[in-house]
Formats: sequence, C-alpha cells, structure tokens
Amino acid sequence: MDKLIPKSWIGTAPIHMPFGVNVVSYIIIWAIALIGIYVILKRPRQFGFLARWTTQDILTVAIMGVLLEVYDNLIGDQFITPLIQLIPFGHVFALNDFPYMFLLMVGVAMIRKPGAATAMVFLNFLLMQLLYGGSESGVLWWPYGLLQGLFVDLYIIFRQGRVFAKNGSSVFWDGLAMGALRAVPAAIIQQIFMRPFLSGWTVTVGYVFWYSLFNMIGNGFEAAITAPLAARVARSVNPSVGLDDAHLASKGGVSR
Amino acid sequence: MKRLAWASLVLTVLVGLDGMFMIIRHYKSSDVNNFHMSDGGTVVIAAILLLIVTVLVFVASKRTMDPERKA
Repeated sequence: MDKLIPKSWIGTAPIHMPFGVNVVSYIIIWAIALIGIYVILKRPRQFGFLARWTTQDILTVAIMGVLLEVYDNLIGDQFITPLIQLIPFGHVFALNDFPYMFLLMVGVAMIRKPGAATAMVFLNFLLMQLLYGGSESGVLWWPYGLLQGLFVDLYIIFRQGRVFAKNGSSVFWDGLAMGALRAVPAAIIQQIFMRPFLSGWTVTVGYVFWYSLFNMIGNGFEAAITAPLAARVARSVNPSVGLDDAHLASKGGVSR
Repeated sequence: MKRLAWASLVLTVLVGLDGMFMIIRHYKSSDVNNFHMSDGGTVVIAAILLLIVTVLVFVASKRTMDPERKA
C-alpha cells in the first residue's frame, strides 16, 4: 500500500463499518448497477437518439473486450506495470492504463451508443474472472465490473449520443469525462464497501481519497489524450463513425 | 464491416504471435492461471477467441455485402 502512496498521507485507522451497514450498502450497490443498466437500455429512446445495436457493434464489443483483457491482465501486468512502478506516483496515477484507456476509447468511438463501455469493460472483467479467478472472483464481485463502465455510458446518454461526434476540443473533454468516470466512483465503492465486506480487506480513508483522486486524474487525462487518436482509428475502420445521425439521414442513410 | 474484419484479423495474428513467442521462450511457465495454462497459453487462447470473432465478422461482412451486390 505504501508503495503507491506515502504512508504519512494515508493515515493508520482503517475503515470499519458494522456488518449491517455493509450488507445494506452492498444491496444498494447492486440496485445502482441494475437501475443503471435499465436506464442505459431504456433511456436513449426517450431522448430520441439512435441507440439500436447492430451486428457490427456486438462484434466490436467482442473484439475490444478480448483485447482489453489481453492488455489488462497479460501485456500490461507483465511488461508495462513493472516499468511504470519505477516512476514515482506512476502506478497510483495508473499510467499503466494508458493503452487500456486508448482501447476503451476506440471501442466507444466505434460504437458511440449507451451500453458500449459497460459491455466492453464487463466482458474484460468476466474473462479476467474466468481465467485468473483469485479472491475477487465470482458473481458477488460483478457490480465492480459493471460500475466501471456504467457511468461512462450514463455520460454518453447525458451527451445524447454525441460523444466523438465532432472534431476539436469536444473530443478531448469527452475523453476526460469518460476516463474519470471509469475510475470514480467504481474505485471508491470497491474499496470502501465491497472489499471490506467480501474479502475483509480494509484501507484508510486517506488511502481511498488519494488513490481515487490520482486514478481519476490519471485515467481522465489518459482517455483525453488518446481520444482524438481513438476517434481517428474508429473513423478509419468505419468511415460512418463520427458523423451525426442527422448528417447520415441527409445523405440518404448509411448502414452501420 | 470489411475493414473491421481485416483489422480484427491483423490483431488476431499479432496476439497469436505474442502468445507463441511467450510459449517458445518459456516466459514464466510456472505462473499459471485457473486452467493451469501459462501466460503464453492464455494469450494463445485469447488469440483463438479473437479468431472466432474475426471469422464471425468476415461472415457478417459477406452477408451485408451480398444484398447490396444483388441490388
């Protein structure tokens, strides 16, 4: 723990909540995840923007989900993270997530529909659980996998499907928001509620604060910096990506 | 769709080569996962998953192209 953040910053008193509070919190976390999925599935139609998934979108999720897993648990953990750990604060700023955030942004830019981030991140999470298991394996941990992408998708709904729709600074800000939302609040929920309840692993308030803050900044800027390139890659693979649906309609409709 | 299929094929080959390289070099061969596979073996499994998706993308791209050609 003190390898990531100086010991003097994190304090010594770990968070201990009564069992009842942990149980209620855990149920609320599941409820948030399920309500979030419902909103992602139903809400876009009410906003009136294109949200129907195509075969290509589903296949893109499959490709990106496997690539995220290959990077996250194999290439990243084996080759990149040991190098990043040599840089002061490099690991806590999640610099090893740079390629991960790029892949995630490519996937979001290619699909640009609510549910894309949750589907890719959760597929990555499921593959990780299947292949590596460990103490954080099983259905009980699923909310953490879901919440990492859920808030990114809620942002896509908030933007009414216009993420990466135009060139310029909006791509940067979209990336910044989505990267930050991938890290927080999922990291906070995992460390304050899920880990103490499911595996008895406790941390201090200071650790949660600094870890979440650094992760949010790191993931946010990684996504923001890579977003323009991700949008470009997405357009190369699928030229209709990045064009507003109204523009597509004026051209007579392009099949996606 | 066809571009996605080719991009997916290239990525499959790269991931597969990485896995084969790790197996040949015995990279951390004692470090195994739930299925007692080394990291190299796991990467090869990932490449096989990608290959399955790639084949599906090629099939889907062919199906979307055929109606256009008929029209």
